[in-house]
Amino acid sequence: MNNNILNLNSVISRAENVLDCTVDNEMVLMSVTSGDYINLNAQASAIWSEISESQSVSMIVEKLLGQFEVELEACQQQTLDFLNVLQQEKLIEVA
Amino acid sequence: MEVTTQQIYQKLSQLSNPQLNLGLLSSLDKKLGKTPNDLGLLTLQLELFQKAGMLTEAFTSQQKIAELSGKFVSDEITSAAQQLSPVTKYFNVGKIDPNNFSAAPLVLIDDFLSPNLVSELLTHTIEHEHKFRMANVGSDNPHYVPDKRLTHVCFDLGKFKAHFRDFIKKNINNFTILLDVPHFNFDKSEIKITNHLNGGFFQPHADNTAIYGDSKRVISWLYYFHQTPKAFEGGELLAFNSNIEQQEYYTHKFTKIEPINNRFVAFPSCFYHAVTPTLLTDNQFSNGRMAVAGHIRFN
Repeated sequence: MNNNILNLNSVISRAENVLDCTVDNEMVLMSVTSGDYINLNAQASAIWSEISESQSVSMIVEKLLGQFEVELEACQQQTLDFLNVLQQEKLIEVA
Repeated sequence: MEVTTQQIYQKLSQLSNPQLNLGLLSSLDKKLGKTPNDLGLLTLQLELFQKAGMLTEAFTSQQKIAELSGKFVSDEITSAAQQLSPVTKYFNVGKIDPNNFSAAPLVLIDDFLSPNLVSELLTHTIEHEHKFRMANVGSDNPHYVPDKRLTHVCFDLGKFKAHFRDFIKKNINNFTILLDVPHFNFDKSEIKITNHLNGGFFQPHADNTAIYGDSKRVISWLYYFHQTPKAFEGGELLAFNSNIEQQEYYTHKFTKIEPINNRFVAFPSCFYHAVTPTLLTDNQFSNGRMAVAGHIRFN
């Protein structure tokens, strides 16, 4: 599998070099390497919670569909978009 | 206040939020539990302590990093700190890289004056309310710019002028050692009392363009005092990691200094800094966030 391109079969887990915490019901990530912050909305927070253990993208999407009112295709796209951002920031690992 | 300044303060407020920094520190603790001597993680811990204004913890963390990296504090630095006060804390000594972003060197002394003197200074300030006016911006061509700064200022310090001036003059050498400033010919110390009432602030700025820049200011210092119990919120000093050569600063890397009663702080004038907005519900002059503020000038 090409680690640079995420798809629904990619298996994702959190990278070691990231800190997280919740402030006023919003999750915030911080890259240990760059010191940069990322604020997560509710859906992104749910994705981050899911990948505390390795998960495939399709499994994450399935769980999100149970939590949020969103169409399958939109959910898949938004999840992949967000995971791509995390990958660029080196905040996730892709198996 | 300018919209851009409001946006900067909004971001700074988020980044210095204790809940955020304590949460991230807790997350970091788990990693440090596995690798307690990881210098990268300890350095991040120090940064988070500084951003949260947890300066006692930051000082301890800084000493641990120095020990682990074999960079022991020199006798000269220890002696300079002791001569200033037995409780002097200093940060980021020897870290200035003029061509890169560097954390601001800081000297911090809590319980600076005796309780009687603090009380006298507070009384003096309140009695001289009629002498306060709005502060200007700029040292070459000072002018009033409420979008950049809302500070009440008074130049009548009574007997306290000599008290602070003498302390500064006597300790120039100690300041230069602890603040990483090359020795210079002392000219004088500007000195004034400031008071931040409701909405008071001072947007990010530097007091000089270089260590020996045109404004002649080398070291900036502040002494905080206020009524107890404290009636205001905010009014914190943020000293930003700055690139002196490029005259730039990071908004996401800074040290927060809370305006705790009877606290003295000093830093090189060329480092960018800001005062966060003060919230003072009753807006009474006597309940404001007060400071004696000064700049040490070279000749």
